[in-house]
Formats: sequence, structure tokens, C-alpha cells
Amino acid sequence: MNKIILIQLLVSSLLIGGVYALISIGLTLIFGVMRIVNFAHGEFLMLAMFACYWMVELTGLSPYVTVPFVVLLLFLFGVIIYVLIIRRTVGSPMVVQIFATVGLSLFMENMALVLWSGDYRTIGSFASSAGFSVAGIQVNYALFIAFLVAITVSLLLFAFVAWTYPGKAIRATVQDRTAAQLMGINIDKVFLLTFAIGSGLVGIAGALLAPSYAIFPTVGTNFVLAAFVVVVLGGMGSMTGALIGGLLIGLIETFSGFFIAPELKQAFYFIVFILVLVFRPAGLMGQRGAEEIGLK
Amino acid sequence: MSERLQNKAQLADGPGRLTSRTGNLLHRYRGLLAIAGLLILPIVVNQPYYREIIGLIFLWSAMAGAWNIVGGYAGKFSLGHAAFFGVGAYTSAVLYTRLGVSPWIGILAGMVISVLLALFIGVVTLRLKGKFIALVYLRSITGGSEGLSIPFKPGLLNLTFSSKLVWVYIFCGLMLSVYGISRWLERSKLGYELIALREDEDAAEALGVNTLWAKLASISLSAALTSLGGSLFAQYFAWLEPNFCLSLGLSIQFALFAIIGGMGTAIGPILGAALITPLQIFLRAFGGTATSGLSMAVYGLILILVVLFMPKGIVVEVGDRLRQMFGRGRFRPIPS
Amino acid sequence: MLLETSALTKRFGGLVAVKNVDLQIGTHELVGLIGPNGAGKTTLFNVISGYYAPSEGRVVFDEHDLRGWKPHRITRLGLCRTFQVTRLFTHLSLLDNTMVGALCHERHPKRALEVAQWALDQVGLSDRASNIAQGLPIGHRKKLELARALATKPRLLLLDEVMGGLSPPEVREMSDTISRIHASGIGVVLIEHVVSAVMCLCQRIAVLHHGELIALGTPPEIRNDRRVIEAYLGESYANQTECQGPGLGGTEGSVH
Repeated sequence: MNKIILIQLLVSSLLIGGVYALISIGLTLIFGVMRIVNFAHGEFLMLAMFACYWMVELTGLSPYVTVPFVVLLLFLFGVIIYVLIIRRTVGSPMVVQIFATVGLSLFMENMALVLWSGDYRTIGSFASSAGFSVAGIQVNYALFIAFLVAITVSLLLFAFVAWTYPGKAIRATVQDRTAAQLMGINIDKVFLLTFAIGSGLVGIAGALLAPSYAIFPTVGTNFVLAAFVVVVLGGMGSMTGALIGGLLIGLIETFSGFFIAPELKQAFYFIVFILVLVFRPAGLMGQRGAEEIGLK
Repeated sequence: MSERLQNKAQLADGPGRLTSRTGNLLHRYRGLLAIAGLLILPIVVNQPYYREIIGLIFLWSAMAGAWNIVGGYAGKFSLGHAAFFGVGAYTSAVLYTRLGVSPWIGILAGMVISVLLALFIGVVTLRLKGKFIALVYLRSITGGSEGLSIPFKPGLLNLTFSSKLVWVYIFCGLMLSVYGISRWLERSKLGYELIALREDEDAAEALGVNTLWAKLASISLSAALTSLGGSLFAQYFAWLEPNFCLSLGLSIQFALFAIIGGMGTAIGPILGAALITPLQIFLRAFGGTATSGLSMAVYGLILILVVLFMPKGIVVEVGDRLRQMFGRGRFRPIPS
Repeated sequence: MLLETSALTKRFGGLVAVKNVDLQIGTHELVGLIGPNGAGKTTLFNVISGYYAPSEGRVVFDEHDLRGWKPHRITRLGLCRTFQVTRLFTHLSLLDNTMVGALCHERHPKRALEVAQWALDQVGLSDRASNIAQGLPIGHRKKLELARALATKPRLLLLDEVMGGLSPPEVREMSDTISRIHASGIGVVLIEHVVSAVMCLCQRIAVLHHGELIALGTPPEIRNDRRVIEAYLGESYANQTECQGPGLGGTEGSVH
């Protein structure tokens, strides 16, 4: 086996893994804090990608310049969706939570179809088509940037959660919702913040991915499968888990795509998904028994 | 003691309507009257277009009812029931067109495969709570439709009829069967077990309910019925597309009808289908991808609104309001 | 010996919740299980009833080693437990709640209905059978939880703080009910904080502290046991001689 090829695969995996991690962090954050699975996550990503696209179309700026604006847009969108929909599902039975976001996902995907048609759109960018070489290994600029951003964002997020007051409030809420309320933490604000941040994170992901992938209304569903697998693999609610999970999935995808067949990628996710569920339902970093019956 | 309770007014809305009301004649025979009405309806309605709509309503009611067994009674809502539908449809269709096997056998084969699939999914997700089952199903659909993008046409032989009217009756029969099964379930041991595990799985276990077995049984039953519907649909429609048969949208549709009408009730799925199917068809009639996108977008909105404001479904919510207005003399604290 | 635990231990990571508990319960006993909060009483119940697997040791019920048994199988065998915080099927009626228990042994809903009605009668909830379980006051909730367990036709009942939150008259009523249940041939193990009730009802009392069984004996023995007094009871019970009034002793209330 050619060592260069192996290393190339490894590097590509990490880059793609970074992308997956970026997409998944928001999802796992929201679940970890609010115990809500946002089935519309893929559509949020799609929205971000389209936002980037339109901004580029209208202003001619480089997609990387639009990142902060897309983030802001998604952040605000998250706030709106939380207030209108999510807030009402917080205490409700699971049906409500699931179908509310499923409905949202349906709505967003189809409105995009109606407004922007199903045509594939692309944003050309220097970064997406070019790369650099290190010792014979090709590294695509755009993916490299995405990878770096993923790491940076994760670190920032850790810092935020560990050292700032809102971050601590979030952690308190994760550990014990009732106790947090008794300590004077406004749970509603915590949820609002979490959901908005989660949406903003997806915004980053979307804006960074827009140069490299085709953009169309159902693009979300392609990515969200991987995102769910990452989240379950890494442990629902664990951000470290999302990072590690993302990288792992990147590895699995790249290697299986190379050695076996690229079209079967999705089948592999699914198999991994099932295996994780069977052998370790809590995921790699999830608390043992987090998914178990709670007797207290 | 049993007599005393049996003569009491309607019990609370639980499963097990073991003690039936002593109502007046019209009320007592309402079941038969309804069935008679259903049987006459397709004949009375002459235009084929409307007849087809009625037929589809029957079919989707049955499918929603099948979903309801797992989603409503057991509380494990899945978004992947289209998998069973598709398996049923494709199995019987493939066996028929490629191997010349009679659709009757194909139907059975489809059901067997669906049940196996259901058991597999059930065992894998056994450790998880409800929402994750939804997830797994979801993914199984997306995974399944990759690479199956060749639509194809079954031929026209056995179990195919020149008159659509026969199909309407077949679907009606299917709907009534599913309804009957739901009603039976409500009174049966399995039904109690399912509802118990929906309410509180640990408590159910403590009372001797084998939750694993109950879940598997309900998933299998649901899958088999859905598969049956799929196979029948294949023979009826004579055109199968994975984008439809295996689509998430179809899964959502089954769930949507049951939820809107009232999950966990036998009549709910029928009402839901009756309300939404015409809406769906009329929206689509305006043609074009843009508007079919619009119809799905409207679905999404409806789903959100129903789930936020009428989570128990129309049957229960409206029923409650009517009760409050007309005071049916039934003691029941106002549910939250 | 109906129920026997040998060297039963349960660890959660570094925390030993139950340590080396040897307990023998005969076929027709009424045994109390007391101890401070966090002593491991509920954990012990959870292990015995199959919700947790023991880290070490065994549980034997009716000569069956319960290793690896799921809760429902254990209940079918005749060992039924209730939950400290009631876990009712809130959207079902009282009767339907109890039906679920009755269906444990009765295959046909008609027979199960009779059993369910009988069980509700035992706890005095018959006239509310058709009410929905949601919104019940605590007294009725506890009764319903007991009725459900009773419907499973157990040979041994594990009751977890079935008097928790009850007013003194309700405690008296519950004591009488438990007494009657025991008299009908069912064994009972009772976790309770209402010590006065335990002292009067139980033939033997086990005391758990930091997961360990620190004492096991008759009520007078336990009342005067030095270790128990220090760990949990305090002096006030040592001087009691006998139960006063129907079912209850002098100092009402519980120890925490």
C-alpha cells in the first residue's frame, strides 16, 4: 500500500470530518441542553448555504466575507423559530417535539423548492478549487479552512461554556433543569440562547460549505444523515463527542469510499449507526446509561 | 360488583371499553349504519375522479391506522413506515413481473419481509426511547432509496381489475379491517400492555408487562398491515416510484393523518385521512413542481400547527370541547 | 425462604450503594426496611426487582436465581415492587391502571377486570374506579400504586415508601390495609420513614446505613440498638413499649 495514498486518505478524512463535526456541534448542543432533536437541522444548513449564495450573487463578495452575516442571520432565525415554535414544545410529550421540527423541516424544504426551484446552484471560489501541497499530499483550501474553523469554534465553545456566566447557566441546565431554575436561572433564556447558538453554528457550517458543494433545497437531507450518525456516535449532548464523531465518520467515509465503493457511503453510515446503537447506545462520550431507564 | 360498574355511564377514555354504554337504538347500531353507508357511498358517487379519491381515503386511513398501532397505542412513533409500504409494494410487484408469481403470494411474501425488517429495527432500537426510533426509521428510508431510482411498471393480470370500483371496495375492506383490529386491540391484553408501556415503561415492567415483546408485536403487526397496503397499492396503481413509495413524505403522511385525527384512537386515522387527503389532491391538481412543493410546505405548516395547538388530535380535542359544552354527564377531570 | 440475598453489592462507578447485604425473608413475613436517606434502600429494591444488575452477590426468589432476569419476569414469578414516587398511567382510569397489573396473570380481560376490581376494593378505591388517574391526591395515588401491585397476585410485595406524604389518618388507614394484605398470605417488605408505623406493623426490621445492613431484629431490639440509634432513630423510640391506638405508636411522624 502506497504510504502517500494512505496519508492522503487520512488527511482528506480529517478535513471532511471537520466539516461533519461543524455541522453536528449545533445539533448536539441543542439536544444536550434542551433534550430536543431538531429534525429541521438539515434545512437550517440549507438555509445557510442559500443565504451565502444569495449574498454572493447580490454583492459579488467572496463567500468567506459573508460568513459573519450568515451566522447572524441564522442566529436571528434561530431566535424566531424558538419563540414561535420550539418554546411551545418544551414541556410537551415527544410527539409534539418531534413533529413540530419535522413539520418545520418539511415546510422549509418545500418553501425553498417553491421560492428557489430545485436547480443546483454553485458558488465558484478560488478556495474551493485550489489547494496546496505538503510533501505530495493535496489539501484543498476550502476544506482546510472549514477544518480549522471547526477546531476553533469547538475551542471557543468550550471556553464559552466553561468560563462565561451564560455558559455556566447552560451547563447547570443540562445537569439539572429544576435545580437550575431554583438557583434563579431563567431556563427560557437559556434555551433561547442555546437554540440560537446552535443555529448560528449551522450558519458557519453552511457558509463554509457553500463554496465546495452544490446548493439546492434538499441538500440538507444529504448532510443531516451524517450529522445524526455523528451525534449518536459521539454521544448525544457531548460536544467533544461531536468533534471526535465527526472525525471518525470522516475516516469511515473516506476509507470506505476509496476501498469499497463511493456510492455505498450512505449504507456505511447506516451500518455504523446500527452498530453504535446496538453496542453502545450512549455513544463514545455519552454517559453510560444516559439512554437507560431513569428510576429516580 | 361487575354489574354495578357495567351499568355506570361511560368510563374514562382508556383502553378496554369492556363496559359499553346502554344507548339508544340509533346509537347502538351506529357501527352497522356506518358500514352500510360506506358500502353504498362508492356506488352513489358516480364520477371516477371522486371515486378514486374515496378509494385513496380508505387506503390512507388504513395505513394511518396501521401506523397508529405503533405510534398511537404504543407511543413509539416512527417516521419510517413508508419502508414497510415500499417493501410490500416492491416485493409483490417484483415477484409478479420478474418471476411471474401471483400477487396473492407476493402480498404474503411482502408481509413476511416487512415483519422481519420490523423485528430487526425493533431489536436494534430496543434500548432507545421513542424519538430515536423515529430517527432510525428515517435513516433507513434515506439509505434505502439511493440507487433504486428506476421506476417500473407491473403488468396487468391477477389481482388487477378493469373497474376501479372493485379497488375502492378492497380498500374499504382494508380500512375496516384495520379499524376492527384497532378496536380489538383496545380491549385486548396486548392493547393494555402497549398503552401501559407508552405511559410509563418502567412501571409497566414492574407490573409484569414484557415490554420488549409487546413492542415487537406491535411493530410487526403494524408493519404487516402497512405492507399489505403497499402490495395492494402496487396492483392498483400499476406504477411504482421509490421517490413516492419509500419516501419520508409518505411516512409523515401516515403519521400526520393519525395525529390530526387523534392518535391512540381507532377512528382518529380515518378522520385524519378523510380531512387531509382531499386537501392534498386538490392542491396537487394545480400541477407543476412548484405547487406540489407548496402542498408539502402546507403540510409542514399544518403539522406544526396541529401538533402545537391540538396535540391530541381532532377527535379528542373536539370531543372534549363538545363534552364541555353539552355536558355529557361523564365524570372526567379536565385533561391538561 | 422466599427471598434471599447473599453478599449483594451494587456499585455505581466509585460509589457503593449497596454493600454485602445478606437478607432472608420467609414466606409470610412483614419486614420493615429503614435507614437514613441515601442508605441504599431503594437501590436494594431496584436490584432485587431486576432493574439493576448486582455488581456482586445473588438474589434468590422462590429458589430461582434472579441473575439476568428482567423485571417483568420477576413480577410474573410473584415478586412485585412499587415505586417511591408513584408512577401511574396518568391518562388511564384507576380501573385500567389496575387492569394492567391484573393482566399479568389473567390472559383474558374479562377475568382481569374482576381481579382489578377486587384489588381496588382492597384499598378502598372502588367508587372512583372510572376516574382518570391524573390529578389524584397523593393518598389515592399511593393506594392506586398498591392496588396495581396487588392485582399482579404477588407472593411478596416490595413497597417503597408507600406512606410517604400521607397524613396521620391516611397512614393509619394504609397500615391497616397492609396488615390485611399480609394477613391474607402475602409477604411484605416495607421501606418506610414513618418509623412509628414500621414499629407497630413489622415482625422484623432491617436497618440499612451507607449501603450496609447494620441491624436486623424485632422492633424492640432495633429500637434499643445503639448503632441504629446513632445512625438514624435517635433516642425517642428507645423508650416506647408498645403500640398505642389502632396501628400506630405514640410519637407520630417520621425520622429524617
